Amino acid sequence: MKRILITFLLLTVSVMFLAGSDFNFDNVKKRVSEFTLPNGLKFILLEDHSVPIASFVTYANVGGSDERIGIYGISHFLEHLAFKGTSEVGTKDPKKEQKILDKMDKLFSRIVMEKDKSDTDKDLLKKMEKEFETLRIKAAEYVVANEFDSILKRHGGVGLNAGTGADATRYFFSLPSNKIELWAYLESGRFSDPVFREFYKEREVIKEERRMRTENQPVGKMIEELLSLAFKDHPYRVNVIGPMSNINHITRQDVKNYFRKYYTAKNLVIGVTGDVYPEQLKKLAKKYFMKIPAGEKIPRGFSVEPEQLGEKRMTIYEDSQPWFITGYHIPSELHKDFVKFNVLDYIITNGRSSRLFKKMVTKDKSALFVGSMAGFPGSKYPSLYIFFSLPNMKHTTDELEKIIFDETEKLKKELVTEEELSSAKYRMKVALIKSMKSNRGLLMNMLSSEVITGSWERSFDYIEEIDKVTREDLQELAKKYFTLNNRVVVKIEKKKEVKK
Amino acid sequence: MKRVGISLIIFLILINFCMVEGKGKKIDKLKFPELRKIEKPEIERTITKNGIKIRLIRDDKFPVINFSALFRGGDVYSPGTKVGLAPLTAQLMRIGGAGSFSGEEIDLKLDSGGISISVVSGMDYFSVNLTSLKENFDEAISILADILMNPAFNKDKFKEIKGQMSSTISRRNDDPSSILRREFDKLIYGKNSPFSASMEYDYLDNIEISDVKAFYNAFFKPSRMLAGVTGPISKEKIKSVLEKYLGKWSGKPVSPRYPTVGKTKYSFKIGFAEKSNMNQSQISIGHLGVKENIDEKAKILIFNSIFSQGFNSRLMQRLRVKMGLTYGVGGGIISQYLYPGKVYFSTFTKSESTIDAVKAIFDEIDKIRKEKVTAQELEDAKDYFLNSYVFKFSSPEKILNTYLVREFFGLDAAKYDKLIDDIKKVTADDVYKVANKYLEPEKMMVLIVGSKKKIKGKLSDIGKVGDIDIAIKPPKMKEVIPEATPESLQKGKKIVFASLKKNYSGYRNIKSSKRSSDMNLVVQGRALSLSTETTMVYPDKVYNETNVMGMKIIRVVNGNKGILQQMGQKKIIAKEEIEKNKFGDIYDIFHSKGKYNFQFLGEKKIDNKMFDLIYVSDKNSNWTKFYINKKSGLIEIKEKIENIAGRKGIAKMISSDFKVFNGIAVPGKTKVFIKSDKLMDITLKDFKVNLKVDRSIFKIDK
Repeated sequence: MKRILITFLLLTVSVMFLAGSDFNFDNVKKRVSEFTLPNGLKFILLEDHSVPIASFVTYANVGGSDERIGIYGISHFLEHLAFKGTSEVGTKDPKKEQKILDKMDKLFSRIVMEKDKSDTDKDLLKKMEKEFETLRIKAAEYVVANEFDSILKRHGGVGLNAGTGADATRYFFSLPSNKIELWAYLESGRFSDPVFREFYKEREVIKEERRMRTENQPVGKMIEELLSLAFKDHPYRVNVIGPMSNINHITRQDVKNYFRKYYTAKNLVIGVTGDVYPEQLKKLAKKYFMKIPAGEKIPRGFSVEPEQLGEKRMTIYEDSQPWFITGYHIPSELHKDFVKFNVLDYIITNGRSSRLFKKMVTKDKSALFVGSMAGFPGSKYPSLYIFFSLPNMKHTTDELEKIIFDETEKLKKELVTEEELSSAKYRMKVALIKSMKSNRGLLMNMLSSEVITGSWERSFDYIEEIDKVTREDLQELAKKYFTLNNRVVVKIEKKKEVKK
Repeated sequence: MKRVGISLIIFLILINFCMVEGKGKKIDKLKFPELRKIEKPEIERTITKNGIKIRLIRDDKFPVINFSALFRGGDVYSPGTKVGLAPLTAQLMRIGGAGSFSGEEIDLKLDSGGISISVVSGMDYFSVNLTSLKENFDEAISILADILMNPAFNKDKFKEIKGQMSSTISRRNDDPSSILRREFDKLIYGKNSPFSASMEYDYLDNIEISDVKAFYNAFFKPSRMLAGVTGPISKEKIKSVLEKYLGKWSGKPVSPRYPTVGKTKYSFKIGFAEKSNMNQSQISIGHLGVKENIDEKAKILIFNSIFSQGFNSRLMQRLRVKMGLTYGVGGGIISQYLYPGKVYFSTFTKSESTIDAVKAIFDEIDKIRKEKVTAQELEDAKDYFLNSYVFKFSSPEKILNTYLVREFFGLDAAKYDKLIDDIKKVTADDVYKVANKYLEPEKMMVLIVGSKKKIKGKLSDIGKVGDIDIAIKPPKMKEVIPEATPESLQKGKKIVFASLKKNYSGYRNIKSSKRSSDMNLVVQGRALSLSTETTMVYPDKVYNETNVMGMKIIRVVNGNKGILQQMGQKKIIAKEEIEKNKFGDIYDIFHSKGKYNFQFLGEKKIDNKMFDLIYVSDKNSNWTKFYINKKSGLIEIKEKIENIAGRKGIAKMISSDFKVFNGIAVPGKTKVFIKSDKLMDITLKDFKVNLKVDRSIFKIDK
């Protein structure tokens, strides 16, 4: 009798594992090809010829984590300027324009120098600023506004955008597949011969973006504070957009230097997906992308976050309802523990039946929402595993903190159940299969795996690693990382109005 | 010579060509092959026996099936005093349990099968979306069928969602851009329009579970279901699956009237919503728009593209690129299928440059209404639509969705199919006419969310300014009580305990009591006579028997357990409810140290008698108000939230004819009002103290 039961159990478990197994990831992998140009620029192609369209991603292995004080925010600044064109696109007269731009740069360095002095000569500063504005207006006369964008749009380009993160900067758009050469021309142009024109107006745009995202949103403030609190000697210490002072201080020369150093063939990977054939792509790559200088692979940042000595906490009193984030230091994506956090994530907060969601949102209704993620704000370097939650009305962040803490303690004391673990693994596999429906989403994941772990195939293969994770692994994980000294807590509490 | 001549001609042509193209740059030398023809997948159609329409695009590439369905319904049908009913219904269907499964069981089934199901309330539709692996599709549809056919509308889940919605109300002023969206819609459609109304605590409070059931019943019927499917499944199979699980579903839907948009009139041009901690202003400018008209659509698309949408639009060029005022600006002539949309433009800029940004937008509006757009602008916009047309077919899901929307809203598919030809025909003159027909700057309202103090210049230069109050209305049942001070709390406590000592000291050492009363109750205009008897053994045993029309209702509480018996049915009384019922009891006040706050609110004269007003509350925000007669110290009036025979509100209980039993003053008569309606008349028959009680009456068997 007992044996029958066990067999039955085994059967159900293995059925769960087998589920989705008629799906062969190799069929997707077969659609992928790669090659590297002599200058070191790598191309990854994910073919799909069902519709005559193609999407392109330029993945630059540079982001907020490569910055130093004084130029914090420059990766993002550069990303904005990468839409301003080249010496062929975006200008009426590149030579004349260049002359004025050079003049402006020199003058601007003098302005910055004067501003930085302790005894600023205000009259001189005013004079220089006036002169500068005259030059700026003159330079603007040579600009063909937004030409990069308008060429693309005219040819049916959609989804032109970019994003800068702590680990990388990604540029992307899509075109009808008969226009692949247009992509090759424009994309190779802006990453070999960019002209960072309209720099000074763009600075104002970026400042508005900072105000919008960080300064006028409770959660924006909170994240900026979380990073600076959690990290002491670490590339993730500063929010990607950068502090206002640094945004104000960055010069065009800074951006040029930064570009020269990081936007080299060895630090870029190009991803293409859609109705494109390998031979076709190779031909265009050779024709257009060889002009990007090889450069050097940028060494990884040298700073290493020392072990945190004690718990860190902060409360922001704000004109906002309460928010709660807690984070624990964890290793980078290269470490074997990282994938275990992804599994844990599914068990404790992913889905309505996950432990914390059920407990906090469904049962005691203390929270409106609870979530967690491994690898905040990036995963190239050691980072944070964070829990975030919003208290429901009449509940406090203290309650949320206690419930989450109790759950992490429970993970140390008791093994997760076999059902929880197998359900998590199954769901992760289903999620992976579902994600394959979007070529671009899949391509993005492949590029990030390629750059961070050295192999795009890992975006499929990690599922095998996940299969190996045991209940004991997760217990060990909790014991190792969920400790008080390793913890950071940031809260927003409603500011009490002072009544007279 | 001849040769030279030809070269010259070619040269001239080339120059001419370059001039037309503008630059003669490398880019113009690129030659592109023709785009190969798009193979449009076939959309298969079928219908189940009970009327569910199915539209399918078969796609065998991945073992994933996407299923969605549209139903008539949505936010606009929520009654004005019950805003939030539609999303509440949708959510409760999804999480409130269905068929023989509880909400949690369904969550678990979905999660462990890697299935996702959502029920969403849009402005004028309900949609249901399901994604599942092929291998779990049957299971997924069987769960969905339960949700659609037999939603359980669990009471606790109902409360849970209401609580979350209340919380959302409390958070709605934290994000500036959502304040802008909400308040701008109110300006355009009117404050209480179904197209702009926002949830309020009182509205949520008005919603009963019976409303949700009725709302569900009105809209969710098989004959109203339009389903779309993509994935590796055949027409025959999807039809048989739906017939298997949803085949028994029947019933006629209700056809409620679609609301109309009323007129608005304001005494100001600029609405200002103050949020003083901001250093950036959120801005919207515009007026009411029109319903979608396919005959004008191509022209409007081109107008929007040139004027306000995308990176190359005039507004983006002016405000972002040239002036550096903002990170984003957008909007346009936005039409809706069933109701008039909006014509509006939105941006955000640092507080100091608010006025510059508003003026720049008005200036651009002025320009595009005065001068025709350039040939280049027109050509660029057209090229964009023509060349990016292929992306409309980028995935089966996208193609199917376009198709479903057309069918659902009853659009003229033939006309929509030739939209691309219409676009080719749009002229600069058309765009000029669109600008003048649809944009009326003198009618446009401006809404600014930000800190007025930080704005440079005079807003009144643009127009008259009116303040927009974004303060969240507290629920009426909670009334606005002034902030307590240590003094008011001390005074309140003193008054209450003086009253207790003088008139109610018998409660201090009371062991048991028995109270009998007669009651007249008004239910929906009809009077009912009841008699009721309550036996108590302190501190926590209650036996209450009420007789109404020959029927007996028994309520027993013993410790934290309680039970209600009525017509042979037993219902457990929740612990929280027992606790809540104790609140404000004089016995409880005597015996619960530290539980209560007594806040002195002031004095009030009623019918020539002077009263001290005391606000009694606890940390769970339970409250009641005592009116204590200054002369006698009797608590003559109490106010608290009650639910009496379906009427919920602040009840006023006015007592008189007090008699004293063993040091306890008991009212001989009590009248209960909600607003001005008298709902109850209670007459005391008898009150006994410290009598012998047979404890077996408190026994609660399971």
